[in-house]
Amino acid sequence: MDMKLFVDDPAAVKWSEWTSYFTEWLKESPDEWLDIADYLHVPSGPGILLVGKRCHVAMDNRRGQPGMLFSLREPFAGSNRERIVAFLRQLSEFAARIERDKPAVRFRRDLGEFAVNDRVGFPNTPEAFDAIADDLRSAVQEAFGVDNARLSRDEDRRQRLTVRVTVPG
Amino acid sequence: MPEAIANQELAEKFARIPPEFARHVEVFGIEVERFREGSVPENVFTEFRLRHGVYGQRQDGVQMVRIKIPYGALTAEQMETLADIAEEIADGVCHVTTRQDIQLHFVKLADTPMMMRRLAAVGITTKEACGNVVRNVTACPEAGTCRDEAFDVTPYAHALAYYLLGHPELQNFGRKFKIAFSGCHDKPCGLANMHDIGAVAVTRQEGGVTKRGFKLLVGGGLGAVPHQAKVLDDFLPEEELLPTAIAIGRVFTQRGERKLRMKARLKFLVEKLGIEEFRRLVLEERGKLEYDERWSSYENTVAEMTEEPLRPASQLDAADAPDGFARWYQSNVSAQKDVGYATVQITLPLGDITSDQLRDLADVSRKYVKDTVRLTVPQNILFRWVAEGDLVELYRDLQTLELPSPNAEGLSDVLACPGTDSCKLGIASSRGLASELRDQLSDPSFDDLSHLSIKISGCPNSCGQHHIADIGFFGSSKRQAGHVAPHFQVVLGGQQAGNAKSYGLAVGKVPSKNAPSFVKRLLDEYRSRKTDGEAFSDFVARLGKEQIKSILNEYDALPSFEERPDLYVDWGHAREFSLQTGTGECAGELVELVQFMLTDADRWLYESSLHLEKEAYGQTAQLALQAMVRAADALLTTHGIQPRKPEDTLRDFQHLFVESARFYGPFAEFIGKWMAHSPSDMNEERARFALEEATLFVEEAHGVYGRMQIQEQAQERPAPRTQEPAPAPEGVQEIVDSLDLKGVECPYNYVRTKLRLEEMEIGQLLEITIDDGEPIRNVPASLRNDGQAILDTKKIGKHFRLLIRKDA
Repeated sequence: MDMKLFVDDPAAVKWSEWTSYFTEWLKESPDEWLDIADYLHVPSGPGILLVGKRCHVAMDNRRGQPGMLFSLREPFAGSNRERIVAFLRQLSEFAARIERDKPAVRFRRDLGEFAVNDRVGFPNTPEAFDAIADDLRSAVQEAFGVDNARLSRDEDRRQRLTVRVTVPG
Repeated sequence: MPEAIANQELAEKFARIPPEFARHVEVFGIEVERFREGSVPENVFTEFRLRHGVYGQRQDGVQMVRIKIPYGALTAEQMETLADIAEEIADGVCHVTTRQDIQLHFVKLADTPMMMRRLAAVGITTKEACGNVVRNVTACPEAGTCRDEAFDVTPYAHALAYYLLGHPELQNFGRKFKIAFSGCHDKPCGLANMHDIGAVAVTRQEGGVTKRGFKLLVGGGLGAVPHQAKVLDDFLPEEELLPTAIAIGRVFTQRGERKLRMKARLKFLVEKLGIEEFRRLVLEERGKLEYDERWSSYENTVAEMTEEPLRPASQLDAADAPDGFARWYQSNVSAQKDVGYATVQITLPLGDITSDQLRDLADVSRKYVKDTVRLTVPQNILFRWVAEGDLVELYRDLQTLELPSPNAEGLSDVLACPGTDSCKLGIASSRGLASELRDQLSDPSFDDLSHLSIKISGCPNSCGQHHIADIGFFGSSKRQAGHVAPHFQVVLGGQQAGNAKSYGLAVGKVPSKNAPSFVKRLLDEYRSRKTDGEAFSDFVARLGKEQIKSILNEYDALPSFEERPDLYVDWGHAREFSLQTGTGECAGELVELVQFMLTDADRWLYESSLHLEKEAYGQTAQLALQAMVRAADALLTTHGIQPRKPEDTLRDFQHLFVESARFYGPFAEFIGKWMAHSPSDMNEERARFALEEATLFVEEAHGVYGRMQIQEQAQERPAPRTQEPAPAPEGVQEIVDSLDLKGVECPYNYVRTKLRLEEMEIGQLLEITIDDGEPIRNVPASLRNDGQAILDTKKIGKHFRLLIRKDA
């Protein structure tokens, strides 16, 4: 699964700084992180990607919307709900670290985009959305302490099962 | 793979996968599972996964997946599938390669079986994308639309690609094998001269009829030691294309180097034998081939493969064209031979396109063309059959997708291999330098030089085709006072035109970070000093190495780390450079055919056990028998005997392994016993017996092969030298052995002779009896070629008896 937290101010993202920034992560935990992939030459692309064994973290620019993309490649253990909770907690930790290290970069907490990387098992259909919605809502509540999150499915059938998570005012 | 497929649309597509592709996918999934359980040796699995397009990256634990797209032809549906897969299991980027493949990076092995299934559902396979096999067959992307071609090579490239895919005769090469098609001699699109086989379309008149054929080139290749191809045949008739490819493959299998990987490509064999002898051997093998109806059946499809436009022909009206259109039109659009239509190149930065872009591009393609999209060797995408009146609208759509870059195949459209981004062999960051050059040379002020090309490889192996660029680079390094700085060797004056007709020359190296300044300085020099119409390669030749070197000297100095630490950091990196090359997988693992076949037998046993669980007893026994036959065939290959019918296997196996007591007799009986059973009279008990006995048989086959290897190693080990070697015996010598090879076909008579000679001492004599005809023409010549002496040849009835002395 993936989740993207959008930055508050896109101008605060100094793209040329992210390779050296993620290099620090790589140096600190060489067993966790494998390398850095620089996709700045691709417009509206994956930006700078820190490639890991279990997950990737990127300062991502897909669809021209900069944000931190956290992408899990090996699922956590437990029920669907437990997995999502663990995933969101990890996402939250990474976001907090970036904000701590780069005070100019703030992530929006009122909007995030959650996606399931499995069109075979979870097609982008109302049924598949219904199957995960309760777990996702409940996980958001547990991980972020938010009890009024609204979930809306991206209805473009070509997309992965993608859910916009919004937290009103 | 999940048991249930929730996606109904995909489930329906999966149900339509052609059986052959479905089997590839199934076998791959089983083998991945068996490898994870520790049931398959790592070297065998490595070559196995390579042959399915799964390649270990520089970074531990992640894979690059190479997806074969024959001659680069893609449908909109395939583009969408590739986009989806890249998004779900890779990093959201599809990379177009110089062999018209698509590569995905940072993929986990566990995700690959389902990926293959999804690709198979849209008619794509990754089989034989890597490894020591026939790689993706490439072709000029303009084939069928080009004004200069002799004829459209597409149907021929298609027929050859699928005929050779998994062909049993081509599974035991010492190295990879690359084939390219070109529609004409003069343009660079096909690059036929740098391929193992390059087929250039030609026609000739025969009795007032235009006959199609190919100028067939062999033994070309880049790599660290580039070779220009040699002409095998000036006019190979179209119907001879497929069998000749098999004959070439046979010669490569039989004669190609297998121990020295650096010398194992076909180019070295052609060089060693000379083109005349190579041609003779190919013709000889061609003569032995039994007719296969597929050699000509595809000819019926040649007319059917003609493409059609989606929209009616029309003329360009650029009155309301947006800014940038004229420049883009100049560099990215070519008129087709069909009036009112054009081909359009979509420039991809470093060959990369995001999943979102590729998915949207599929939609754009549906709007303008009818599934006539091709990937190009220079790592771009080509739309064919675009009505000229649609060009402005198409350009606007490409602007929306952020894909309106001009200068396709021009100076700023720098081509680069993956280099240190993902390849284990990469020395310096080829993509990092390419990205920098792209940025610095994209300005319109360089448009007068847009006919020049820059190509970059991360190491000397030339995946970035640096030998055929006007300005080429390959990765290198230089050490100073304990620090290492990334460098690039400069190769100047290569020519892509004429199907890559000449290669450039290395002139020296520069620190990587100085390379852009050097390029701009060299371009200034060219711009100011070239004579009218002088090509860059001619300019470089006129200047000479000395003058070029003097320009290079302005940039080649390496100050100390303390003075210029930036020179010790590669492009796109933040840390000090270090050399971290590993063992590349481009060469594949050299796994003997016998190992592969024994692994097949293991897999069939495994599948047999799955059927037993499902109470499918007939299939259990059938697979168990299949496993035994495969294991016996595997052992027979060590005697040069190729698998044929099961009854032949049984006979030869009995003769060579059972009668000689090399295979444990009681286990050997199982194969004959289960051949006599009908799968229809199976019950649980019998099926279980079949599986258990087959397991014992296959295990014993592994044991026999293991013992053979130990014997071989013992023979290869040099004996302690206590005295000078004895001189060659004089006078009467004893004949050590005699082989009766009557009725044994070529090349198995030769292989068996060779194997026996390998067991003998230098100077010892061997007598063999062979048939008249091909055997007497081939075997002595082959033995002489190996360095053995034929002391005597006697005709005895319909046979010949040869006396051979082992001299080599």
